[in-house]
Amino acid sequence: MSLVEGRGLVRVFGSPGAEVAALRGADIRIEQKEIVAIVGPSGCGKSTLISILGGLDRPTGGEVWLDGKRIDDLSASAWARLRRKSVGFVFQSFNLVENLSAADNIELPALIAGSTAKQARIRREELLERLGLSARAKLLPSQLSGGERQRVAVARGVVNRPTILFADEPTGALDSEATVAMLNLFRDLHHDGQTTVIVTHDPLVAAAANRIVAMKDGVVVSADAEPERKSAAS
Amino acid sequence: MLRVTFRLWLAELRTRPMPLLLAGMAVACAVALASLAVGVSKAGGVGYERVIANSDGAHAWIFNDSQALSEQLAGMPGVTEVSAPLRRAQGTLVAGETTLPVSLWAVPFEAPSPTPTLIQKGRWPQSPLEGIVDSGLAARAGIALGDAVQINGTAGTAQIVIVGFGLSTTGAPYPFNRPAELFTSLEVVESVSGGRFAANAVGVRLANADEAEGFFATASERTGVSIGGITWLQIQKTIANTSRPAEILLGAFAVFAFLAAGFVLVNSVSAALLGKRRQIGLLRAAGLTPAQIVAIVVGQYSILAVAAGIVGITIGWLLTPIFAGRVATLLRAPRPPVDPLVEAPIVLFGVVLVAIFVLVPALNSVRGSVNESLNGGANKRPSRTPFLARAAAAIHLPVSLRIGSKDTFANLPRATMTIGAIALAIATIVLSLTLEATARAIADDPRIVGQPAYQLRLTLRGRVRGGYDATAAELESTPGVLTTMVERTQRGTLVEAPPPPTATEQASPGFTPPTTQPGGREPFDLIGLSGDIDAMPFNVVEGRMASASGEALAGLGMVRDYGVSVGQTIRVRGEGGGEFVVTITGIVPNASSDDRAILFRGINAGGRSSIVLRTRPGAKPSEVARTIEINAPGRFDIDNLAAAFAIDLKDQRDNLRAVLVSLDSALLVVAFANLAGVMLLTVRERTREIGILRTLGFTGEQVFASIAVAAAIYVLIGIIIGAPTGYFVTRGLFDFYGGQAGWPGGIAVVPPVAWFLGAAAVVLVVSGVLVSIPARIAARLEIRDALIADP
Repeated sequence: MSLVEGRGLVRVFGSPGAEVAALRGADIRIEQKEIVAIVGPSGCGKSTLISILGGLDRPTGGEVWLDGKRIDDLSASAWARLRRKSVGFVFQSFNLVENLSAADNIELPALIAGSTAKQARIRREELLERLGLSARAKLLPSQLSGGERQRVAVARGVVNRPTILFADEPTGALDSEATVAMLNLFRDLHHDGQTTVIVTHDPLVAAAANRIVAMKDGVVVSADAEPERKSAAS
Repeated sequence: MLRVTFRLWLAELRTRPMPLLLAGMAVACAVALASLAVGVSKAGGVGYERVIANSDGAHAWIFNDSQALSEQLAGMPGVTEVSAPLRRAQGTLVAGETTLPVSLWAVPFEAPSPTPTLIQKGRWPQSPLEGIVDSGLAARAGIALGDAVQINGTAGTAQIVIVGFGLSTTGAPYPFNRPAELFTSLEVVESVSGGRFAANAVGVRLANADEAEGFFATASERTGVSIGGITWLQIQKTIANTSRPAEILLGAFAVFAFLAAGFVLVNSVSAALLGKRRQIGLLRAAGLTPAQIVAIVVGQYSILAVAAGIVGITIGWLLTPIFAGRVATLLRAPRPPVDPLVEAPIVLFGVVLVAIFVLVPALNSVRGSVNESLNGGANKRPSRTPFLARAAAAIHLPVSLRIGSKDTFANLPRATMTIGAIALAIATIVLSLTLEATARAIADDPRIVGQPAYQLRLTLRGRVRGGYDATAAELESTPGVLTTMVERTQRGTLVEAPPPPTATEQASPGFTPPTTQPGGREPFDLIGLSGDIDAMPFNVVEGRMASASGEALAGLGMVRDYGVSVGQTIRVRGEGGGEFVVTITGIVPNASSDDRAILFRGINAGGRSSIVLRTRPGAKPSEVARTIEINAPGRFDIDNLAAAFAIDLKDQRDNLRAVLVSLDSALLVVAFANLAGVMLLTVRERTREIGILRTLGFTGEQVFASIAVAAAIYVLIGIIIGAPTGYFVTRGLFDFYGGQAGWPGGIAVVPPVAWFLGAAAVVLVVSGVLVSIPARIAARLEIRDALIADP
């Protein structure tokens, strides 16, 4: 049984008469503890696919399964509760809360998930230490570099030890040095058993994955490609 | 440029009408209130002016018995008509349960010209036992056309049928002028009064109504006789004064509303410009300078202000009769005409205010480079975590409260203005509650109800056995009666009122008081007092009680309208021509219906006599009246002054209550619509953050709660500031205006807790309903869309 599975996913945007299909029957399976890279040209439906798998959007058609349970028909509130514990997200534009410090941003999901202030603080400190951000903990996102912001975003994404972490172009706004650091971070998390799905245009990032899923025009065209390890050499 | 402004404005109106409508509504509301204040101040006066202009009502009434004088007046230039001398006497009207003193006028079977009363309903009397009664009295006593009423005089009683309701041209309508007037045949007036008439009344109509002001002086000069009386201008002034409380309140609320409108505007404009950052960038890229863009924005809102101003003026004009109160109803006053010289400055003020309040957000919108504008505007990045967020984290508040409170003061000017608008609304509510509570307390406050210092006035029917003073002494043995006094009232004029001598002048050897001629020739009440005067607790607000013969108290109206002061020695002339010289020792409020009265001590001024009674503490005046009636059936007509005072107070309270409830509702809706607008703006600014929170597992309910928390903080602070402000403003108003009426200071009372709870419930419901709109919008945001919103 796959950890996450999307079956025949369809997502149509726009009003009647002016519909645009972002997904046209995409099938995907994510196994436990793997890093999967989803690649494909712009507009092929990569971000839409992980939005639907992570419950940020609803499919127009098809099914989403997590840990053997169908979840695409959950209510918005049930989805929210599921995301707290089971799903983490990292975005290209970081999406940190601008007027909360790095530390506050990291512990926010823990508090939302119901951790006590003490539990949240301990977990936050652990992640700050691990990501080398302890000295920057009290700074606001606007006072951090791009790489630091993305590390805070990753820490926030994994603070609740989610079943799966979705990262949408996590290195899209980073320079090459920060990109490499980010890939190392994903590898570290993988070693800890973190299942991760990364949407990327960057071959370097794709090379860091166990498996590459290629998409085109709203469907998955290849789901078993082996990454070229050479290009991923750091 | 004008075309660009107008086109963009129309596009804005089509695509985002709500912020514009909200701002327009707030401006219209403020202009309407200002217009109402002006309208109400004019309604009674203008209404009376129209009534006089469109009728054959007299421009001046002279009270004099000389037939020769009437002929002399008729020959004066500028005088178009002089009525035949009309006989007058004092009496009492009994209609059902109501007994009230009336001034009886003997009128012919055809309306004289000029006429003392203008028929508003019914017809002129055509037989001896028919009469016309003042419309205000008919309303108070519940008299209908065709009703039979009893008239009692000192010599007898008569029963007449009321065939018409009239509007007096010799005084303001009852109860603003007392006693009320009743017009009937000479036979009836003569039989009930036994031929004891007051001075004749002669009505004069002038070619130019405005010349009434100087008419008495001119007439005195030409005839060589000192002539006094009352002019339509004085009556108009009395009528206009009746709407002063409503006018003051409306004026104060208009100031509040203009401020609230300003706050609404800033927020509304900020919201509109936030959504147009890219458009502003495009306009700048197309070559418009920042100054031109600011001019476009200010221009757009100025157009809005003009439109809202016109709407506000129209609303104010339409509502004026409702707020003008009872006197307008009695006058059946049409709405005052729209005066461009008065209304245009109000609209202009509104436009200037709008321009000022729009300027700040407009200038903000053009900050930063064109590129930044094209990319959604120059973002102000926070430099530290907000205090409330840190405080909420420190005390481990639930995460919804933490998130909800953290941005409350992120934009300090906006937060200040939002709280300001709410505080104003709360202040007006508390002001209304305090007014209501205080009005109720006053109704039972002996310091106020006891003015004048007695509760019952008795007029003897028929022949007086043993004289008034002996009868008054007899009445003191009635259970519930504390003390009695006899009043003898007639109308009089001021002959001489030199300024009071200074201490230095008085000490100078050979000092003689100067004699200067006073300007005022308007009549007032001359009230001679006898009996147990010292036992009557007159509320002397300045000076001391008159303690010897030749000393007198002056009503506050004498101070206000004639410049009379304590220590002054004045000479007054009574209706019969007799003159008295008295020294004013003290000032008392509510000395008569219009407060223009001189209360003599120990002087028998003649005129209408009555016995006044002060009841014992705890005794009900109505029960004392019943006892007197049982002990001496049919001997007295009893006027319950305490009950009349309570009715007057209730009337005023009812009028004010309607005004206050309307104003409160308007300001409450504006303030909370503004709050909803601000929260909507917050939601728009925080859309991406809401998307992030939803991604992290925030439910729609938690998002809703966080928005509600932010709104609740504003409301709470608004209440903390507004509630005491409202109370202390009311207290100040009572101290200031009550002080002028001789009321003691600090009379305003704190409303009962239950009222506050009721008001809080209303505030909660209104704010809950309005804030739920943006909160629901926030809760229903699609995560995917929210995450790609402009930062």
